[in-house]
Amino acid sequence: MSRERILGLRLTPMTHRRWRNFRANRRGFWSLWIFLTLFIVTLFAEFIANDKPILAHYQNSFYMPVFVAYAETEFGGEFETEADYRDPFVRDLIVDSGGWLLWPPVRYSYGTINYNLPVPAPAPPSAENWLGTDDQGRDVVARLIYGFRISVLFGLTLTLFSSVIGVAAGAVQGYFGGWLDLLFQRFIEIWSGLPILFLLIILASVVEPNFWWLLGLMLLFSWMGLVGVVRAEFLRARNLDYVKAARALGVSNGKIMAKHVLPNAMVATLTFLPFILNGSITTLTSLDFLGFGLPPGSPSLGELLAQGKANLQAPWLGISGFMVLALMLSLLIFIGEAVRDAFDPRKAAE
Amino acid sequence: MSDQLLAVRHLRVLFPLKGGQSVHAVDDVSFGLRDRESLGIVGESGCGKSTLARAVMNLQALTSGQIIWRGVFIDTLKRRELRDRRREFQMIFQDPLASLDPRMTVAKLVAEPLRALRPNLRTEEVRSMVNSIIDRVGLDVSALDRYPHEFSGGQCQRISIARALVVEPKLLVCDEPVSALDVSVQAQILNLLKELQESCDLSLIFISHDLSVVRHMSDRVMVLYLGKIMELGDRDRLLNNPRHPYTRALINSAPAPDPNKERDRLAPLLEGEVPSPINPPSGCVFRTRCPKAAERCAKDVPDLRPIGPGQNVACHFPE
Repeated sequence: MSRERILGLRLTPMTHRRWRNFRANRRGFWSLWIFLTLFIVTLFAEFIANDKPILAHYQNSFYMPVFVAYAETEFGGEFETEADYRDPFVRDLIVDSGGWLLWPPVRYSYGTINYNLPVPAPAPPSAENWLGTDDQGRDVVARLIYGFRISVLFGLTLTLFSSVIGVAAGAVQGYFGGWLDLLFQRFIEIWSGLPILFLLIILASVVEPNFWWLLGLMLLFSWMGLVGVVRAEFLRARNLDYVKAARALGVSNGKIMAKHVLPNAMVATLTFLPFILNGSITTLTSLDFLGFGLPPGSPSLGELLAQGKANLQAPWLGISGFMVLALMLSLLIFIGEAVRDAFDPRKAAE
Repeated sequence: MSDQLLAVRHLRVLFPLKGGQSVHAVDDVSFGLRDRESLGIVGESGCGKSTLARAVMNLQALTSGQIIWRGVFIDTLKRRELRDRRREFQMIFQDPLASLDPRMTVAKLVAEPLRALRPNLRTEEVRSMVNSIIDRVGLDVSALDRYPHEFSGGQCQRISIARALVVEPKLLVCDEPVSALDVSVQAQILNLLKELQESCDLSLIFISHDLSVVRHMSDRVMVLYLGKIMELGDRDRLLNNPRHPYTRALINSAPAPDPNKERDRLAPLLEGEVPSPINPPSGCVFRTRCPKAAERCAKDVPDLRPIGPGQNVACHFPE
């Protein structure tokens, strides 16, 4: 039989068929590539939107301000603090001595304030600020790039942790069944009945939330998403002949769960992942929108939306925030649908 | 008895249903098994053969009764102690393909019980043991890197047998090991099992609904009906001179190789259905279909009693 390779990995015929099914769904396939491109590009946000040059050449030596904080005195300035390369004084110091600066395409970081606005902030789109500035004079493009990155990173981390916990909980419930399952299910019913957003808001007002705090708080509730499917898969698979056989051979429960049953549940888990990622991002955005999310000053899409709501006279805030969010969520939904269809056993390969 | 390997006493497995009723899967079954003996268990579908096997393997909680394995009550062992004992009794299943994890290669499948039950073996030792057992069940070592679905049913059953025997058990429980196979392949697997029984000093508990298979494989035969032993005795005595009406009917209903000679030798064919195990008949469970049923059969439960040398029967009016 033929074994295909993708990225050097040997694929089982089943996986290969799924990959072909996934590719056959053009919308999902392209969504995956667009999303991956956007994600990888924004991972290097510091090289795309930054208030420091990527590379500076001054008096025959190279400087990399992106990585290293150089004092202004290095370039013959007066202050011992880090050089502000946007300051015409510093710029002139370097350029006049025959040096040069290589700037990223957007000369603003997410927190850089443009003090030279011709109009009061929020300023409309211009050649300097492509999508205008927000009400504190910060560049919208830069905030979108960083905001996209933090949303996706947050979503991915939350998805990872909640899948691990959810799969483990579902596995234990489904495999052992009986009283354990019964009690656990009732607990989950009560736990998932809690008004999550309100609890998050209350908890977020008790502690000053940062990235990890917020992740932990949301993890308290998001792990339940996968429990149902994984539990169902384990309930089904624990009665498969080869699982019974393994038990008869004396294989321990932990090993049976990990080696024989879990692979069955992985399909269900994988199909759910993009949707869980979507949910995580939406929850983070809504918390940010309400002002209970990431600490003030962080680049976040929710905060941009809130600004758009507060400044209806500056539609570029709300519209650009909305467009990025809509694009990201749609791409994820398209990918999720394609993955789901690719794993559908009733869909034979063409 | 010193050579007694396994003793089962008053084994009872009930599956409770809603409303206080329960399915009587195995009801008051007692028997013994000697070292290197093979016991055949026959009966219709649903008579409790598989439940009995699962109970002996300690895969099924007992409602009451005891299972004594080489002097130890295995039904009360702790999980860890039980796992140590697992090396001594292994099982093969009816559907050879379904009992092998489709995601594992043959090498991994056969090595699995070794890794689980003898975790301090070195990798090379495991590999050499796997290689030798694969050879003994008549497979080529090139099979080791392949997956179960690449094999035929008979080959899969060989893999199952290799997997069960790799830990060198004393007892092998075979739950209908050949009923999913073609007749031509059945013979190969049966002969392989007999061969291995000789060379590995195995005891067998051999479950089948096929009398000719049981005749081929067993030293003693147990006939089950609705979870109860109807007759238990040495193979030749029991099959050639059955004393219980049910055994007679069972033998009679088996297709004979020579119809002219074998027909109308014994009792007429059975009529009707097996009664529901939820509500088994009072007294003798077979009385609803028994041609000899009398008033007494509805009142008293017949005990399994010796009726001749090496033959026991549970009937008030044995033939």
